[in-house]
Amino acid sequence: MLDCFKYPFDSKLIQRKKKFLRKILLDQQGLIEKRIVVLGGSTTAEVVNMLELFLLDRGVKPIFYESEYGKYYESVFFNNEEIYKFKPDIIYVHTSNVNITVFPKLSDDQDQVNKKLDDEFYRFRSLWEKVLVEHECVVIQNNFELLPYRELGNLDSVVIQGKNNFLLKLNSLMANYACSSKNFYINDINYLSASIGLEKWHDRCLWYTSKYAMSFEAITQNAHNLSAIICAIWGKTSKCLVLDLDNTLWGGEIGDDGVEGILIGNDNPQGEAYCDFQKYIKKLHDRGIILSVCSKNNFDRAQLGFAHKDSVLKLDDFSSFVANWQPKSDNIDTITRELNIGLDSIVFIDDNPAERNLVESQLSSVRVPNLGRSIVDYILHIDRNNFFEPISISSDDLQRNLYYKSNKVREVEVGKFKSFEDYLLSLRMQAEVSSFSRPYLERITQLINKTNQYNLTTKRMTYGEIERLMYEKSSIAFYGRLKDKFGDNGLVSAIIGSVMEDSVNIDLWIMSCRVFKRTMEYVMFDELVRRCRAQNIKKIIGHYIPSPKNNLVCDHYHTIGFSLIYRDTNSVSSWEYNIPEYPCETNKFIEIVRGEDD
Amino acid sequence: MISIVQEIFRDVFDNEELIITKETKSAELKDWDSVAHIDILIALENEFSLKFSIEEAYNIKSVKDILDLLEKKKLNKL
Repeated sequence: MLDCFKYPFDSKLIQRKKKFLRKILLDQQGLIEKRIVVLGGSTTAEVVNMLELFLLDRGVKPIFYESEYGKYYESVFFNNEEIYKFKPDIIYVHTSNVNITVFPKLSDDQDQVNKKLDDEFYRFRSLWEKVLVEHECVVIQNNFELLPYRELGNLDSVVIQGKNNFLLKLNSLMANYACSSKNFYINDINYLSASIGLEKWHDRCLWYTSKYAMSFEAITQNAHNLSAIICAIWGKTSKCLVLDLDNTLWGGEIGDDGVEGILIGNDNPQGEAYCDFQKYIKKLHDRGIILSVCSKNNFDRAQLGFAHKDSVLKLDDFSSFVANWQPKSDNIDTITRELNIGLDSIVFIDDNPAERNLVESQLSSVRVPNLGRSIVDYILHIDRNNFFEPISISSDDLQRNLYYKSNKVREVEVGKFKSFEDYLLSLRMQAEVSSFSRPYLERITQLINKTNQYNLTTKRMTYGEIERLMYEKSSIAFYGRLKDKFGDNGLVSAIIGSVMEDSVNIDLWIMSCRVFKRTMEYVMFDELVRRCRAQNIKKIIGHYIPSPKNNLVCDHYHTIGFSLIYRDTNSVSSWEYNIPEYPCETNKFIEIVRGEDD
Repeated sequence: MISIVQEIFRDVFDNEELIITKETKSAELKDWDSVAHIDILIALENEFSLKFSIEEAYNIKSVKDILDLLEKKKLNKL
């Protein structure tokens, strides 16, 4: 992560050195390609340049198709063939208030204003719906920023004839639509323009000379915001916040100042600011972000801080707690192993620039924001970097921290048994296996796009593609849920296969890291065999495609009993399994519950 | 002054060896197209903390135009 792409984004530097930055960013290894159609309601050249840089910084290499200037609507309705051939992953509709065709007039009554609102909204909605039906892609739509002037003064956002009022109503219609549709996301430029200020957002000179609907500074903000949405759609968001303690979560040093001496709570301005910072982190935790401590401190002393009566965060909120005198880069490495997550899922927060620098230089995939000058800036440096951008709030996110907590209990438990088998039996595990069904599609999509380790092919899919599988006769697609005496782990595994005559090809096999070493893979395998048998399928073909993160499963098919057909020079391997005449189950530890239709 | 302007040109065109003189004209410098023109103007605005009017932006056709304009705007500021 280059410094200029961190909040507060160095728009001037990025702008000036964009060719150089592009060159070095394109030099990175392992970039993922995404094909993006940009439908412009104004000039898009710089919008595309900046978006490319921000995406490259996140490891995504975009390939663009830009509509002709201002032809965002026409290119979909009259020039669709080209877009179809381009095969977009994303269609981005870059419109703004200059694209409103008819605003209310002063003489309009309520009905006339409503009619204009409907017409304006319908024009956009028809575009999204056409695109979503015809292409396998997601749509990202700008909402509207306010106008730089108010023809009716303060009444402009009060009366129905006010233009700004009209824009706010349209935004609300768009938001409602986004809440009830899949594969459709809002790029909130109304918020972005408010946060940098409308006077900086609009550059009238740039509009009249080159037809840019926003200033170059605004374009940078927009590019960052868009890249965050795009990365979130493909699961490239952070999962875990690793926090320093002294002068990060409270003012002062717990070792020297003691519990009564640290600054936290509403008794003084600094303490209040630290309190608000903890509240912000608590909110992240509530929506599923894992918290961890990494502090240079004596372990027992470090924990004392959370016993302070005004500490919002409690010891219990942390899934991992490391306090010692080792280098923080080593400790973060330990934390990732303990939580079974990748270094690129980590955001590291420390008030000390030297520690940040060490971690950033040793662990380049950990994301390390600057924190500004004091506690009052901390929240912004986490928030505005959009590390934890959610694309939707699934019930699984709200549960996630429970899993990690009960995993801790399980770890304590495992030491009490003579053998691992005894331990597994003691868990009293129950699995449910069922065909894909609508209530679970969102979670399945999330799992498919976020699972890196237990992932045989690292095939990523959109909600729409997965939804379609439910109706395809030639597909086998089912999920597995697992619970035990400590709690419900939720939906943790999925297999997708395509049937060809009397064999089935496993396109995707994934399992959440939450349930590693619980033998859940055997449940999934037995179910696959059972389904094959029911369809008279004789052979199962599996593939392992190596990625930087899935080494864990390089031997998966061998372990399960497949024989190797072929392995190429890149270690991509194919395996086969001939279904035996008589059923033989491989799962020994988990009780199976099956869905009604299966 | 010209050395600062030259740095901007080198960054915008990503060419460390580019040498500009007062006589360099947009029509003669291959990469100095309408897109690069905006990049140069914005980098100049940021570097010298000033704003060009539409007329000024439109009338710049050479490095000399830029230097004259910067001189004039600097005097106005004093």
